Amino acid sequence: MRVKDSKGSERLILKGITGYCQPRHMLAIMGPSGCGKSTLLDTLAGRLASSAESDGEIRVNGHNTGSLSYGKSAYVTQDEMLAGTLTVEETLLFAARLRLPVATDKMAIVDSVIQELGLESVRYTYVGNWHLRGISGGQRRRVAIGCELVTSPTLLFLDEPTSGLDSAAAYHVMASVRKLTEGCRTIITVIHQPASETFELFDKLLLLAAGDTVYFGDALKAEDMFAAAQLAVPSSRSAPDHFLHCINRDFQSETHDVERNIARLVATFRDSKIAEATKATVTEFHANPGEVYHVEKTAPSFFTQTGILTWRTLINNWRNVGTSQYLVVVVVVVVPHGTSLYSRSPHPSNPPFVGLFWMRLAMYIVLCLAIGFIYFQLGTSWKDVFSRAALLFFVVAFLTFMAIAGFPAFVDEMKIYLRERLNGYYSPMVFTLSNTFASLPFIWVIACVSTVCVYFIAGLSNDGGDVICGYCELYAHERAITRSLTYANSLIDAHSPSLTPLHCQTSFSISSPASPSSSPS
Amino acid sequence: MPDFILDLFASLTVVESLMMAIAPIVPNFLMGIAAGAGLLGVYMIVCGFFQPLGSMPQPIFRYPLSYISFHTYAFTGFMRNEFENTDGWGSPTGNGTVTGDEVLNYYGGLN
Repeated sequence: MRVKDSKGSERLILKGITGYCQPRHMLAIMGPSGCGKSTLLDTLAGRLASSAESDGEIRVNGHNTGSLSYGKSAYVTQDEMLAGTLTVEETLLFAARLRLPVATDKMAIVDSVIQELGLESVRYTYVGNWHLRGISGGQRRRVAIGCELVTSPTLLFLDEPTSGLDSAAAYHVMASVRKLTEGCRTIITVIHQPASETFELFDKLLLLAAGDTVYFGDALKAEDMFAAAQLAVPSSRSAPDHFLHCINRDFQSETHDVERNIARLVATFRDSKIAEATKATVTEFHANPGEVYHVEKTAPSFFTQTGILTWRTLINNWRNVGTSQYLVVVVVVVVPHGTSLYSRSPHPSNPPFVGLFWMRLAMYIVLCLAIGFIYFQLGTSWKDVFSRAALLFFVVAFLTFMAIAGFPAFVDEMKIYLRERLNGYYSPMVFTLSNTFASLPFIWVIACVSTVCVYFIAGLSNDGGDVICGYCELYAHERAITRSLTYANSLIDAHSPSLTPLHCQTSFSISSPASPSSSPS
Repeated sequence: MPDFILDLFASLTVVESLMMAIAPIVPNFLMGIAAGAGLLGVYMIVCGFFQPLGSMPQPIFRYPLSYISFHTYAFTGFMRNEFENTDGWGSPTGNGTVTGDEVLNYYGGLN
């Protein structure tokens, strides 16, 4: 159990953890921050940073199945990255369309997911972003979970699905997650600070302290083990609170010798019957492997995916909100706002909003009119020749410069892409192509409108040479280069999946018989 | 005018692609905007308007920067669209006229 971090020094994150999780069960991984619970989850889901190594075994149904990333299991991250401009229904529908065969009835699947997660009341509400008011935090978590449920995965990893939620919202999220196990799913979740009624939803509990197993077993029997280690839960405190209190070494106090607590708990657990039983169960799983776990590839063809993603990006661009709210007034005069490109039903609860595209278009119009009038009706004198050159330079330089306004939106798209890539939605090429296609109509409109604004007012000549075609070729080359760069970069990003800057090795063994086909349903 | 639109359209698609290429390299959007603005600034200065292509220092700026910059191609396209095969432009000396090709020559082999 050796560990190396990025500087070459060795560090141990997880120390010989053994556990299992069965179908219809929910395993909660708990512990103070920095104890390795997210690392454990990343390792199980095959998302550990490439610099980290683990030398344990992860078995599914008793078989070594290799990495569970890229769509072989569902993984819901802590910071759910959703396109804020889509409604809840659209978000789920697109997730389904991107990943299920064309012939499937996605609407029925989305209906059942919405029902399963209790999202009926916000079905037609926008997810929302920093500008657009949307659904609540707990609902966002459930939508993020729902995106993964459309393919009905049997293995579900959740990274702190309740962080940042109040105890009631956390309970509702976990209760709907709990209900999912009824569909013969195996759920492994990292959680901190569960309220006692949330805690009661868990079947199994894995309690970690600095990489050591403090407890693994039935969640409700953890209290007994703490009592055996002379750390019985006081009546004034809820059980999960007490567990964390005993093993959090960040805040030492005189009344609590945390190091001694941890040592005693680890020792007590190691010698307990529960630990023995766990080892026996795992050995039994290894001895009697079930069916090999595999996930059928259900994704539609490359072209279908590209089309669907292009459509989604189009909608997103259309509705995405611009960076400057003060200029909204200008835009409202110019264009009708809040136009819905795609909807099955009206969105009664949503305010009208102005898209980033409209904002940019308005700015182009303003700028081009300004150029036009500054260089009003140029003549043919030598001074005007200079002015023409200056005007053309301005058009080249500053109209393209304004593309920077789209940058924040690109960054958001990249984050969404990263999440979806790691969950095996589509390939980097699909992303690159659909982004290109989705931007073309908007750029075309901007180019036409800008030209009309500047061309006649400034009185540009109409009898110049017809030379553009040759240059278009050069553009195509330049464009191909930048696009391939994007493609390469998205590949690089996708292959260093761990978003946490954690470089370590881990060692543990968890077997997780998860296939519904091998167990009665 | 169709040429003008095409040139502008092409420039905009290139710059959008460029922004998309920067986004994964510099994922923080404030840093990304700064990086993008700096890069476009370099592209602008070598495009042949401020300093005619022929008068530019040859190492680094003429080769390869002015060839990497998409502004060079876009600006050349617009200029040729405006001046190529035209005549009757005012002369700097005040006497007579110059042809459009002579204007293009002044900007350093744009034609």
